[in-house]
Amino acid sequence: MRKGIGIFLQFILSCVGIIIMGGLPVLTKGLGNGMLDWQGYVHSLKKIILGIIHPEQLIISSKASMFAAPKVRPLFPDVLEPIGYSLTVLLSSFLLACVLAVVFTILTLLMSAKRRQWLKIIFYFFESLPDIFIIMMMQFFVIFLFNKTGILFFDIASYSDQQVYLLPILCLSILPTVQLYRLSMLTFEDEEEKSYVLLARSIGLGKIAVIIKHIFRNAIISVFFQSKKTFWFMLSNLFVLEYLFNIAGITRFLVSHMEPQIFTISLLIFFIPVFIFYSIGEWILSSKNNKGGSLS
Amino acid sequence: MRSLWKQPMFVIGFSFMAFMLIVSFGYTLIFHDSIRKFFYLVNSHQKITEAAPLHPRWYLPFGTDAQGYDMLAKMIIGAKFTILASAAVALLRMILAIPIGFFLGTYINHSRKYVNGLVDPIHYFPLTIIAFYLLSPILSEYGNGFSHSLFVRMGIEVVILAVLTVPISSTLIGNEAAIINRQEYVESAKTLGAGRIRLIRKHIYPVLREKLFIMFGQEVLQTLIVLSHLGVLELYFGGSKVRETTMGHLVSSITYEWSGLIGGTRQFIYTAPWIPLTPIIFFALTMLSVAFMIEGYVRATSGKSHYFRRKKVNIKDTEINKKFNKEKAFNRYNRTG
Repeated sequence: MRKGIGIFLQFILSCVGIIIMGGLPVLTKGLGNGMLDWQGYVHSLKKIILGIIHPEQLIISSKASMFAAPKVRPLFPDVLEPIGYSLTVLLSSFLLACVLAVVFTILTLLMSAKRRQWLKIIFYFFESLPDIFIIMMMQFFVIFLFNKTGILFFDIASYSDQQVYLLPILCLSILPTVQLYRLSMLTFEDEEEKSYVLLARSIGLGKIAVIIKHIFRNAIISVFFQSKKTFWFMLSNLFVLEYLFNIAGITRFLVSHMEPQIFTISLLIFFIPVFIFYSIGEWILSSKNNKGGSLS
Repeated sequence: MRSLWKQPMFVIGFSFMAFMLIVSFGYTLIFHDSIRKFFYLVNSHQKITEAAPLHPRWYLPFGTDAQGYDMLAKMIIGAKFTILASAAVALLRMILAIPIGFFLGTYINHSRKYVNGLVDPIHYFPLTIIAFYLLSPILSEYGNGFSHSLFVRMGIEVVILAVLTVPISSTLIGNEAAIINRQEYVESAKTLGAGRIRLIRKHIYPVLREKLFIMFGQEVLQTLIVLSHLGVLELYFGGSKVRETTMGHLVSSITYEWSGLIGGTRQFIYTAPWIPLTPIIFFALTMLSVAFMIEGYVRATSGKSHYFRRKKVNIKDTEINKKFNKEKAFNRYNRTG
């Protein structure tokens, strides 16, 4: 119960944080002249809070081109579609990255120590490549394949309303896979040296059985808890990815509606499911399996 | 520290960065930022064989852009801005985060838990989009021009990018400092009457110094990523020049810094892939060389690659893991020595 209150408090704090930040551009606009527009800031905060209380009154205007008259629509059913799309891409590539990282870890653990060392070094330098590099290379590679073979393996970019899933999810999950791989390698190796593994091996269990049945269960919790920074990284990555794939996701929505009110509220709507996903995961894992001793 | 220059990885990374900076400044001093321009190539019969953008060839190793300017020269001119900017952001972050972190770790040790809980939600904010949101009124020129001069804009950008992650960095440092603060030798120093300032100066800082250097390197990496993201979103370091044309608005960078060379080039990925790929490859090389420097530094200071011991951890778990690591390092030391 106390845990629940803690999570709820954190949620409220995060929301307040987003709202406080939402008005900041108004404040920082005059930063170079040494002027801070406090009045404008308070005014925009008021507007954001008003928008949260009466979400049905929010409207967005969009222009098809420079000379067309702006079209005015209500925000609410409209904002949900891009957010849903972005969340699908984000969460599915996070899950894909988790699965791939664990599978690679288990495969690596079956190798000899020397090979492991090499693999780790290669993955480490792979990790420090910028994400744009990987996205662009993937796009380039798919086009290259298309030119050579005449088969378009993936859709490279989305046009108009058609939605692409496969390649964005794949691209978004590459670097997180590498990061999670490093994390889980660390935890699995720590776990590998514990005495229960020795015991299990000594009573004659196979290496694979020990890894999957015993080490995996204990290590995966710790990996999940450490994966928060990877998730943070993925969020930033997602925005650029959407831009590069021309996806009609949250990025395009946010960038085309930069007014504090709309921006903050869309960000809040995007933030809530992410927070719920992570908190539930944390809550389940921490309440379920604390006895294995891998949490501490 | 003794053998830092004997670490091949550190030397490789460092010489790449130093080379880029020296060449960049040298180019500006000697050629005054003039860039070779090739509109088209003519063969011996006075026929035009190729028009800009030109393919990469031996005297144009990265080709030219759509206007016919040499890509390599643009990269060289831009190198100093990007490298120095990321170093400045990382440095400012450390300067802000270290005192706050030490303060958190020593002075308000009991309520640190709540501070951690307060900072934790930052992990749900996408850094790029927040930076984009805060910087776009300052950096993009819509309507009536910029309201600030170039250097003021650069300064503001550095400060905002730095401040955004100070909370996370400082709680990390705070957690590290708190672990050391609980060590026995610190306890005995306290018993002998050492004040908090002295504890920080003589006991906590020397132990943490190496970790702080590694953190600095990681901050540089993160800043480079954010800069490249902002480049994709057409918000360039130092400001984006916007011209309204019939084709929509055309955004160009004021200096030739690298993020400005990424933005708006996506359309060339099919026709002239070297235009978007060149700045990205330079970003990748810079980040790799920073990673090399970190790895070399770790090897020089600990005698062994423990890069893989570095953990990107949840703030809550830091203490536990670090304690665990310390025990492991201690065991290893006992076994070998």
